[in-house]
Amino acid sequence: MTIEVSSLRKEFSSPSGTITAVDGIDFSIDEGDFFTFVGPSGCGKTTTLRCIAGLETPTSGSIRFDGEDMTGKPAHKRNLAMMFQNIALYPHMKVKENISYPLKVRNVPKQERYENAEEAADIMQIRELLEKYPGELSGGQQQRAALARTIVHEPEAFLMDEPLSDLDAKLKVEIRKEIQRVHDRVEKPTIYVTHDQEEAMTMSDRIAVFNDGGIEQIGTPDELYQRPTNRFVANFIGNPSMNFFDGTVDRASGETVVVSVDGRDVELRVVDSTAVGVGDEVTVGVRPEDVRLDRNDGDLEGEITLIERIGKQMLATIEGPQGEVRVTLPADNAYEKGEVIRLSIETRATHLFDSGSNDVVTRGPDV
Amino acid sequence: MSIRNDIGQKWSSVKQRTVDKPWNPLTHLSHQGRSRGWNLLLNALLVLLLFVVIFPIFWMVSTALRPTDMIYNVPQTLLPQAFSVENFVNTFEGTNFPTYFTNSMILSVGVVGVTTSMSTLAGYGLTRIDIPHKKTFARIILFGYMFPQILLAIPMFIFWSRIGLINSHLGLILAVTATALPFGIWLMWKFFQNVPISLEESAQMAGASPFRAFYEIALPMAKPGVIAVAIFSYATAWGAYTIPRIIMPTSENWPLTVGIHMFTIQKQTLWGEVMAASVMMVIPAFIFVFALQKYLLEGFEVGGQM
Repeated sequence: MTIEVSSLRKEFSSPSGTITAVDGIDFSIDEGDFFTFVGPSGCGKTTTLRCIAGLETPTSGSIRFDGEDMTGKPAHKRNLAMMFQNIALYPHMKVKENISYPLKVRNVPKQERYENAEEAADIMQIRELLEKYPGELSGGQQQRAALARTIVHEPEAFLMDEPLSDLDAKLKVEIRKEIQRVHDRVEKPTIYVTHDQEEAMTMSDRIAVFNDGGIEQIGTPDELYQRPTNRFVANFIGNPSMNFFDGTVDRASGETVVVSVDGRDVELRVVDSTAVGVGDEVTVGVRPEDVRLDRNDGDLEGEITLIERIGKQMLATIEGPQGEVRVTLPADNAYEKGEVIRLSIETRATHLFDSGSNDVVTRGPDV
Repeated sequence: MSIRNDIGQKWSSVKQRTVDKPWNPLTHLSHQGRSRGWNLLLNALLVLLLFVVIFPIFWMVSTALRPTDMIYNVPQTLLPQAFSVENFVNTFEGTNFPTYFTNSMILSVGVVGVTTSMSTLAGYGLTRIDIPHKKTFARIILFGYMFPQILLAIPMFIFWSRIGLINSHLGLILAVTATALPFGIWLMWKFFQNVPISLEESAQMAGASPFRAFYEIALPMAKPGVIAVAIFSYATAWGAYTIPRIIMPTSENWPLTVGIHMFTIQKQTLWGEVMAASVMMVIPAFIFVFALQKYLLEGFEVGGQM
């Protein structure tokens, strides 16, 4: 099934007036896509999902499944499956009744639906829990049961509303794998909502980055990481996040742009220098792995205020006149907190944003 | 160091108490090592209270089981000197007890049925549908519950007589329902607030219609509330006196409460019949509450697992 959303708009009325949660968004999802909505809380991603689910009625715009208009169709007639943040297993039913509930509403005989529940439970490796009540299960087991419930009736698409946000880090990884396994098995579109960009980056075929009721950019994880179209996406995607320096264009010719950052000239290689003009206010974006530290040599200067371990590498935070800069370092570096140090930017790996619109204007050849 | 430890222990004991169990004045006092005198005093108070509650019931049963001619003996003994079912036979054969009993049953079944179903639907609607001024509505409902019944009964008599509901079972059921409904609605409202809406949404995503999601998911989860409302409305109906006294003028329509009272204000007070009828009146109430109590507790267990 394909899902097509066009000009979707959703307003809520509140005592203090109308709130626009989603404002005119468009996208389409192909058969078998793992499509993720990512963005900060309150950006409209869950509202959009709920419109697709049929749990909310859009104020305007349309939702089509395989070309057929579903906008006004109630949730129970859309043949979708949804996982909720709070798991939403029915506490008064045994696990097997929970898993087979979608079949019960489809009037499948008891015997047959329990057999199907057993199959789904086998896939999720929770067969021994079928006779228990949800309250007797651990968090991870509950998620497995909820996942089993989504696959039992062969839905046209899977909708997942932050299903992992209440789990601890280890369980998250485990259930994440299960979700992907289910997705690969059924080859139906999955829409996954999360505020965690890392989750989005590791699981998705394509990602829509939401902000303030709209979509900032849609693309594959690589596209979003390497070619963000605006500063919001550049900042949101990637951890530790990108550094930004405000500056003014001094010179622009050929493949070179010279930006004056806090009175110091920084020379950058870009793919298209005609996109900027002398005197333009720009923001230079550079990822923490593309900044070099040196005790003597570099364009910018600052003091190391923090060194912390992030997995295999270390992350140094440097305070200077140009603002705070995050730099990744190998674990065996010799730098110490409190040192005054010089910084240089990897000139071929920067993104240049217009300081007014925050849209990207050009970028280095090696981003 | 010892001071720190001391404080730490006190803190942890306070924390434990607040986290583990509700605060109970009796255990609290004994845990804190108050004097034995306190405990004795409290226990004495409890025995006294228990006596005040239990003795009338005991006396009721004891009197009902005496032969009629021994009821007025002075001095009276605590336990009957001879047992007899004479009073019960007289109540059945010599009074309108069977009629009153039937009337009370009709009233109770009607009130329990109407109150439980209406409270459930109203409570559900209040939590699931966006109704303007919901809070004001709730306050007004509870305010209505605070009125003394006699204040409601008089205007009700006027209305009911205009629309021909005086002396009718339907009229009485509606009138008593009106006194039980506010609390019922309020209780169900609170219960449905604790049923997460995502459970019904999840059922709808599974393919259930909104009504089915209510019926199969929300309603079973609010079952302890439904049963609490049933018990409460039964108690209201079975014990209703003021309203039936006023809007059921004819004696063949009286429920037990009014009927038994009338035993005492005829030419003489038929204490034997009053007590026997009272005992028989208590039995259905006891059975009803006892039967439902099991489900009430079961419901709380399920709720506790959420």
